[in-house]
Amino acid sequence: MRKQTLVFTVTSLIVAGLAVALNLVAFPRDMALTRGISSFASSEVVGQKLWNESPVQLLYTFMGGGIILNPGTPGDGGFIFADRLLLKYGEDRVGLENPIVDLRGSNNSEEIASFRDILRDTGYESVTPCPHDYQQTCTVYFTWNRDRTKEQDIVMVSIRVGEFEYAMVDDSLVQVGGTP
Amino acid sequence: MVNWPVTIGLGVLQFGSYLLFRTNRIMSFPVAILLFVFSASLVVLLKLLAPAVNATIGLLVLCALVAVLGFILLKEKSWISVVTALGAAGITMVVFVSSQLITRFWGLSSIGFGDGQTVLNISESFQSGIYAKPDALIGLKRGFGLPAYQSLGFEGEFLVGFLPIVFLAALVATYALLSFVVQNKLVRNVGFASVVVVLVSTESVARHIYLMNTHTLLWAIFAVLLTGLLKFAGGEKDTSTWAMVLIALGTGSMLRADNLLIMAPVLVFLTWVMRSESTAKQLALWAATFFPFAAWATVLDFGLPVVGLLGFPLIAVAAVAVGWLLMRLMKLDWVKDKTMQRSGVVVLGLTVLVAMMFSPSFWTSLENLFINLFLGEGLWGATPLVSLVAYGVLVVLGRGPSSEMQKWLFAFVSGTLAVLMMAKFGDGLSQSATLGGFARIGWGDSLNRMSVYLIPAVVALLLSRGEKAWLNFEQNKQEDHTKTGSGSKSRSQR
Repeated sequence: MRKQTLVFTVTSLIVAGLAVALNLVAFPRDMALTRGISSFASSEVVGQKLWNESPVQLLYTFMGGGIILNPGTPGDGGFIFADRLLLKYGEDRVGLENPIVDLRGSNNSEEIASFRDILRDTGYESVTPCPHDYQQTCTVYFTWNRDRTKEQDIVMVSIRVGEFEYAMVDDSLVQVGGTP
Repeated sequence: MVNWPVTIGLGVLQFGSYLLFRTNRIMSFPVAILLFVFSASLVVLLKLLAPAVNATIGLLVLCALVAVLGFILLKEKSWISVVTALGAAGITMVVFVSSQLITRFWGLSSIGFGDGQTVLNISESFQSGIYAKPDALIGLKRGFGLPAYQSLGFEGEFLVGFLPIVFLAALVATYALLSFVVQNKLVRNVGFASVVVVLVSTESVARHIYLMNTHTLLWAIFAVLLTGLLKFAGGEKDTSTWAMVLIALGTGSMLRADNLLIMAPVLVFLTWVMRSESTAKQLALWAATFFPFAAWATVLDFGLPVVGLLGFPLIAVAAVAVGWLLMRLMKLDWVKDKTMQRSGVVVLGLTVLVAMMFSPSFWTSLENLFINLFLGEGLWGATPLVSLVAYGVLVVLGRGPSSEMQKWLFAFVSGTLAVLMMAKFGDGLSQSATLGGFARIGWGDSLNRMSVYLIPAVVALLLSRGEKAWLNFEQNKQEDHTKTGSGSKSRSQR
């Protein structure tokens, strides 16, 4: 009985350990919850979009028929999750070869700061390994013109708006050239 | 920082629940949580009808009534019973206080989700005693019970720290189900501990710890209902089990309109296994399922064409009549346990057939379901694959005919999957932008999120097979000893 108990316990631990290890390392992980929320007031949570969600899940939920113009190439300046998007959108609708556009070069700092405020006010925030350096963590703002929710062929543009700040917005908010 | 009125109310409910559910004390905690949700919903309904009602005081009064009822119904009024019930209440309160403190200290909250934001808007309006009725379908879909109990938070806030308690209740309810299904303590405890660790590491499940939605409550509700189903099917009939089933059905009904469809298979199964009980007890199941929904739908001013606000009360009465008809049909000779157990698979098969014939995106949906469950985009990680493989191995090791409990669990899983698909098709029909599929890629897909409803049944199936494997191994050892002349008596298998 003791040997059987030991075998059963050890086997359960090994199987559970394997599943946990695979869950943590081998499969996509977005986020499980929002941390560090600044308020629990319902109106502020809703109005200021205090709840976080990853860009991937937001794309899946709200831009199912969209085109992801320039998420970049993972490992070469692109979002770490960019190749996951191929499963849903296909190669025709995800421009992995198109790099993320850095808005800091083409706009003055005041314009950028003002635009970042709009992104913070209207968008969902999440954190992700920085496309320019996966060892560091960056904030990603995800926002879109709500009138275009679930619009077929809506184009989502990836931009850099700060040293550690990126965004994904629809092309009514930012215009860049190119096709997927 | 700490919402003391709600904390005390929850403690008082736990006290009453502990006394009332003597035959399954572990289940008293999840049932207390369901009672809280139901009571809170009732009080908010009253407040909407009579704005002078103070929701918090009303809740405390209801909680006290439950506690008094528990004490009155306690057959042997010993100090030990009261003290242990107080202990249970104390532990529940400490856990809830801890959850509130941890949640506030670390600023923990739900992931961003459109449905959740709608719930917050509704709960905020409930705090003001008003209800801005949205379009009918959205209003019925967003439901009532969740924004109702969330409105018991501090002024302007939702009920901080309560959602993790619901998650804990779902886990405890699952363990309580296992306490009935798996008799071997080692298999049950080691198995459950392993399962919990894997579930918490599964991001799709971990999201539900703080998710502003009703899924975790339904997980707990189904664990309670399954326990009741298996107890009655096994011939264990007691009033407290019937009462906890009523509470679970009533709470599910208070939450959302589509729960009426989603709970339908288990309601039918429960009606069957309770066929030797009185007509009143059986009909009470149907009343508990439909009348709470009719109450909130009517108070919130949802009516139907022609009959207006009488619409949903009439539907509730009609549903109870359907229940009575079903009870008559169940008296036919050809209706047996086997018929009912197979009906789950039959309904699933028919649903899939209809979907194949009429949904242009059936195969795409199937592919999406595969991507969600096995390729990670539904955030289930390796858990479905490891579970399937583990189950396959245990079926081989624990070979033998399925037990009656396992047959009921299969019936539940297949029947519930069918109605989840039907609910999804219903969603699609109401939103012209969708293609009529039953699954889309991503965690946000409702079928992907609602898969947590199946966790109690799947875990019970897995561990019951584990127990069978254990018994087979023991029996083989006994037979080996007998063959070699060691001579010990063989044990009878379950």
